[in-house]
Amino acid sequence: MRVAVIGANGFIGSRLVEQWHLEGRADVVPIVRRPEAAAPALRFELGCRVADALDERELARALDGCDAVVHAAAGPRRLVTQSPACVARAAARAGTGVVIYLSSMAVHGWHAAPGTDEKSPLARRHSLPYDRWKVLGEKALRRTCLETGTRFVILRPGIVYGPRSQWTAAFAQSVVQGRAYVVAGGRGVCNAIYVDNLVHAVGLALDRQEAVGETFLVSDDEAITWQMLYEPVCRALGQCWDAVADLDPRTPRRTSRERLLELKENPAARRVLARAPRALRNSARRLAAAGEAGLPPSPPLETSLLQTCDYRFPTTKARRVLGFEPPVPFDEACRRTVEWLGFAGFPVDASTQEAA
Amino acid sequence: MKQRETHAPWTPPVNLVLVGCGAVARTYYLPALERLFAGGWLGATRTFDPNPTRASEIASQLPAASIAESWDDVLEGPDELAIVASPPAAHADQVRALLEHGKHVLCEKPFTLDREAGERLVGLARERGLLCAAGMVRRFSRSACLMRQLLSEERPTRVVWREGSPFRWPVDSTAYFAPEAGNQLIWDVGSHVVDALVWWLGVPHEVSCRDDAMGGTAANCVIALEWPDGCSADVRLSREYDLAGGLVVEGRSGVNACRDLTEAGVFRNSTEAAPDFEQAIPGADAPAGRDFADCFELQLQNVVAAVRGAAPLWVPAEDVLDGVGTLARAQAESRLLESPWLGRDELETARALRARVEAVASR
Repeated sequence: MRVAVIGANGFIGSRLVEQWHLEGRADVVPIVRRPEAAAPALRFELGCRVADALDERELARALDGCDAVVHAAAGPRRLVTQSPACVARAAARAGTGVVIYLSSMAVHGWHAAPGTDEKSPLARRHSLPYDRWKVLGEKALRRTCLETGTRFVILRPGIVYGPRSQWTAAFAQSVVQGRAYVVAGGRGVCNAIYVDNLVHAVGLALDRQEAVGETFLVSDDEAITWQMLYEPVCRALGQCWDAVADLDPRTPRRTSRERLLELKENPAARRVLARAPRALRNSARRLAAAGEAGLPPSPPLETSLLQTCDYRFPTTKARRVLGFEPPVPFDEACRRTVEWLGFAGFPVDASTQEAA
Repeated sequence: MKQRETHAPWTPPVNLVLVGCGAVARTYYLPALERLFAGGWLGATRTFDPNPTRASEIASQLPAASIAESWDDVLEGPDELAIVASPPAAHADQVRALLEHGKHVLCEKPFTLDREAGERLVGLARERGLLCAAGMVRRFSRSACLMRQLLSEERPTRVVWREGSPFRWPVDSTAYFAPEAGNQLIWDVGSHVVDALVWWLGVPHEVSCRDDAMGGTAANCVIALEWPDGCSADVRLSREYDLAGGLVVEGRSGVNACRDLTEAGVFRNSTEAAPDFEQAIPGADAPAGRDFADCFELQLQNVVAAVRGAAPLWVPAEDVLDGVGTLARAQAESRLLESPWLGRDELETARALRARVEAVASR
C-alpha cells in the first residue's frame, strides 16, 4: 500500500514516515510544503514530493498513485481550517482511496462535560483559537468528503508526546533555562498519547473497513497527569520536581501570542494585519515572543486550561471498532522520550538515562 | 591595522563569471556582488546556470551583468575570475576546466570532496600561475581569528561544538539531498566546523564519525577528533534540531566560548571580549569581518584584490586541503548514528539499510 503523509516534516508525520518505512508497513510518500523541509525524511531513500496543503491541484499531483493519505500537517489558522477540505478534494481528484485526518481532542475543549465522547456535538465557542480552528477544519473535511464521495477517518488524539514533540522539547528547554512551571501541581488529567501509539492507531484506521466515516478519540492506556509526563524530563535533566514552579490556575491570562492569535480571529483585523508591512508584522511577532521570556507571574490561558483538565476522554470506541490497544506502555514511552532528549542535544545526565 | 577600503584602490575593475545560481548565489553572492560593483571592485559580471531562468534572475539584479549561454561560453569568455557556487559534486571538474582555460577561481565550500582531487587542482593552478581560492567565509570573522590567536597561545584540552537547527536553506528542489549531490551535512556545516578546527589546531590523528543516513542524506551527525597531544573535539551537527551551545573550548587556564563564529563575540571564562573589538586577519594587516555579511564581502574583496596583485590571497585552496582530507576520512569511516527511540524491528532494518549503503560505498 502506498501512503502519502502530508506534513512529513512535522513531529507526528516524521515519526510515521520513519516507523512505517523501517517496519515495511507501507510504501511511504512524504509530502512537504518546501523542498528544504524534506531533510529529516530524506535520511531514507524515499521519493519525497513537494506540495502546498492549500493548493488542491498541486496536492492532487503529489497524491498521484497513492492509495491513502494521512493529513498530519500543522500550522497557522488558514492551514488548520482550510487544508482538511483541500486535502479531501485533492484526494478525490487523484483517486486516493481514503483520507486519515489527525484532528484533536481539543475540538471538545479541555474542560469537557463528563460523558463527552465522539457522539457529543462540537462546541462552537472555545476559549482557545486553535480549538475553534480544529472544529472548523474537521467539519469542512467531513462536509467535503460527503460531497466528493471521499472515504475518511478522523482521529482525535490528546496531547501527543515523545521524540521530537514540542510538549517535551519546550518543557525540557524551560527546565534547562530555569523557568519551568506547571499549573495546579501538574495534577490535572493529561489525556496523553505516545506518538508511536498514535501511529499505531493510524495504521488500524487504514486497515479497518468499519472505520470509514467514523471519528475516534485515542490516548494511552494509563491515566496520565502532567506531573507524570514532565517529571521524567526533569529528572533526566538533573532537576528535581520540587524545583518546578507551581502556578495558580485561578488567574489565567492571555499571553501576547494568544492575544495576537485572538485578534486574528476577527476578519477585519486579519485584513488590516495582512496589509501591514512584513517588517511591522515580524516586529509584532518578535514583541509577542519577547513577552514570554522568564517565568510568567500567572500561567498562559492555554496551559491553565490544559493542566486543569479533569476529564479523561474515553477510547472505548477506538478499542471496539479499531481494536486499538496502545503497543507502547507509558514507562517505555518515557524512557524513549528521555533517550531522544539526549540525541537532540539536551544536557541529559547519562546515569539518569540509564536509570530511566 | 589598516582600515578597510570601501572603494577599489585600483583600476580597471575585475570582470567575473558566477557559475551556479542556486540558493547560495541568491542569498549571499548577489548582495555582496552588488556592493562590490558599487565600490568599483567589479566590472562586467556574467552568470551561468544549467537552468537559464535562474541565471537570468541573478543577472537581472546586477548592474552590467549578462548571461553566459553555455558552459563552453563560460570557458571561452573574457572573465578573469570565476566564482564556483554550483553543487559540491561538480566543483572539482568545473574548477579544473576553468583553470585550464586561464581563469582565476574562487570555489565555494567544500572545495572538493576528497583531498587528492583538491591537490590536483592546487597543482594545476600553481602550474598555470593562477589563483585558486577556497570559499571559507568563517576564516574572515574576527571571532574565528581571535579564537585562533587564543588557541595558539595555549593548546586546549577539549573542544565541544554543537551547531544545528531545522534545515531552512531555500533549496530549489529535493534533489539537493541526493547523496551524489555532495550536500551531505558533513560537507555542508561540517566543512566550516572541521576547517576551523584544523586551522586552529592542526590535523587530528584520530577521526571518527556517526550519522543517521539510512539510504539517503544524514540529518544528524557526530564527529570525534583527537590530536596527538591529547586534545579532543566532540562535534555534533544537525539539520533537524536546534543545537544550542555553539563552540566551547576548555583549556588549563579556563574556557573560551563562542555561540556563533560569524555573528557573536568570544567569551573568556564567561566574560565577553569587548563588543566592538577588532582583530586582524592572521598574516594580514587588515581587520577581520564583524558579521556574516561583512565576512562574505571581505572574502570577495580579498580575492578580487589578489587578482589585481594588490593583496595576497588569504585563503588559498592549499590551506583548506587538510580540512578536506579530515572530512573525507570522517565520511569514509562513518557508521550509523542509532536513534534510541526506535523499536527493535526498526533498529534492525535501520542497521541493514546502513550496511547496504556502506557495502555499496566500499566497492
